[in-house]
Amino acid sequence: MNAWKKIRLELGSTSSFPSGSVSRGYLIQLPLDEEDRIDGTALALKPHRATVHRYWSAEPDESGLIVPVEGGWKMRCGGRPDRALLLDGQPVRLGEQVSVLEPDGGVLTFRIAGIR
Amino acid sequence: MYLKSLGKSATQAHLRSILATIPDALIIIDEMGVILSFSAAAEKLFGYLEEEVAGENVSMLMPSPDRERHDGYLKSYRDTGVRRIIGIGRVTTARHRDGNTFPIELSVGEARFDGKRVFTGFIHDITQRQQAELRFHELQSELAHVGRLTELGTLASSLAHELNQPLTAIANYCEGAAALLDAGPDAEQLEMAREALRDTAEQAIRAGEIVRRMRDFLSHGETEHREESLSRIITEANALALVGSREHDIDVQVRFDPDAERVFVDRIQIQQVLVNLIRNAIESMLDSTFRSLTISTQAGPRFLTVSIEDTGSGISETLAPQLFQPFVTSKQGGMGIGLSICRTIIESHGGRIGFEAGDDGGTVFRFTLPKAEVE
Repeated sequence: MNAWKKIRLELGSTSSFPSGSVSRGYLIQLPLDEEDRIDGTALALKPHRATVHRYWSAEPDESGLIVPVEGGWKMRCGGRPDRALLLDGQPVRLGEQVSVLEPDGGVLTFRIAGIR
Repeated sequence: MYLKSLGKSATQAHLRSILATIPDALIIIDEMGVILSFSAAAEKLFGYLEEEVAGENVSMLMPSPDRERHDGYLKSYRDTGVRRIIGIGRVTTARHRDGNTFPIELSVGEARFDGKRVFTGFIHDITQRQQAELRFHELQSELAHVGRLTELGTLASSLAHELNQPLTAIANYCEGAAALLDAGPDAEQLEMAREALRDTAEQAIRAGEIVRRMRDFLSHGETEHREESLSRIITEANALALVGSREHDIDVQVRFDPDAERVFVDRIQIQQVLVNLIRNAIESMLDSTFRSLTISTQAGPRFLTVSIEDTGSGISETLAPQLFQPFVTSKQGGMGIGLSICRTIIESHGGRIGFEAGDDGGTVFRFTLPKAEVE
């Protein structure tokens, strides 16, 4: 049994934001299986539901889809370079950390701040 | 943080206690948009603590496109001093920490502290039913009035069309008779007949003129077509349509094409169409497990397109062909005149309205409006 969930990621500690930043993050929609991992089969049936919205302080929002790629998931927003969601098969649970590989090669860590 | 940084004089303590207890959310920002103070009510309304948001740009509390435009609004005010929102209440939407968009009434004031300019924003959550319903009913009654005028305008248009045909025939017939009589033998009688027929023709033409004036009056005189901002019209209508929908946890996305901005329309009428379509979309999704509403605009060469897409139950094949006809509805208790009025309004603006099935079993309604001519 899978369920589509709305997952909120908030930026964790970085050199620019030592305490993290609540105004920078992602809202993503993904199907999770019973073990709270991304359900790739359910996603493949309704790929257009796997949306991602990036919000970053006063910058324009970016919207797009989460798409499966070999060995993981990429966040594809408009004409922007892809960002990789580095989950490594780990469960998506409240309070856990998720890393995002930026197009410039940098890795930012986010906290799972909400799942509903 | 800002309040905490204030001194400890009696006046300042008094001010702090007022700001901690006022029922509406209060946010104080500096002239660059940086949050200085975030009241207890604001913490509750937006889901953030003051220490989390102090020092952040206030635009984080807004959905796109206000988010990226807000710095520009502040700069424009710093540069020109022209007030676009200060001192004026505005219905708009805000974004909760959980990503949900909700309708608010925002009042912005300006003050000086220690020689520095700050802006105060009072935010009233109009999802609180009492005031929201009052506002909604005010708009609805205004819209109903405009709706009646629109129906009357349609009636006048069809009357004019019906009347103009016989009136034109009368004019032609009379002028033909006058020509025939021109060949008659009795010069005096012929002259009288000629005179009478000419008068008849003149009267017939005058009657047509009256009908034309009535139609012009109804189509242009009573409704107010002005150059308006399409994004502003949509933002306000969206806020009103979302009233009471927060508990349904609908993901609302608004995407404006920057080239689809200026329209020459009757604002209230177009908002009536939008509120109708958005409310229909919300209602259609109540039984869906995945609820996503996307409102977008798109510029074309002569027309702008507004799309409202839902992930609801869709429209049945039996209902689809007659959806815009009056008294056709799938809703229990619905009268089925909403979409009929929507079509009348859009067509009276020179646009078209239609729908198609969405990607996820829902529906996409689209309507077009002519672009405002740029002088």
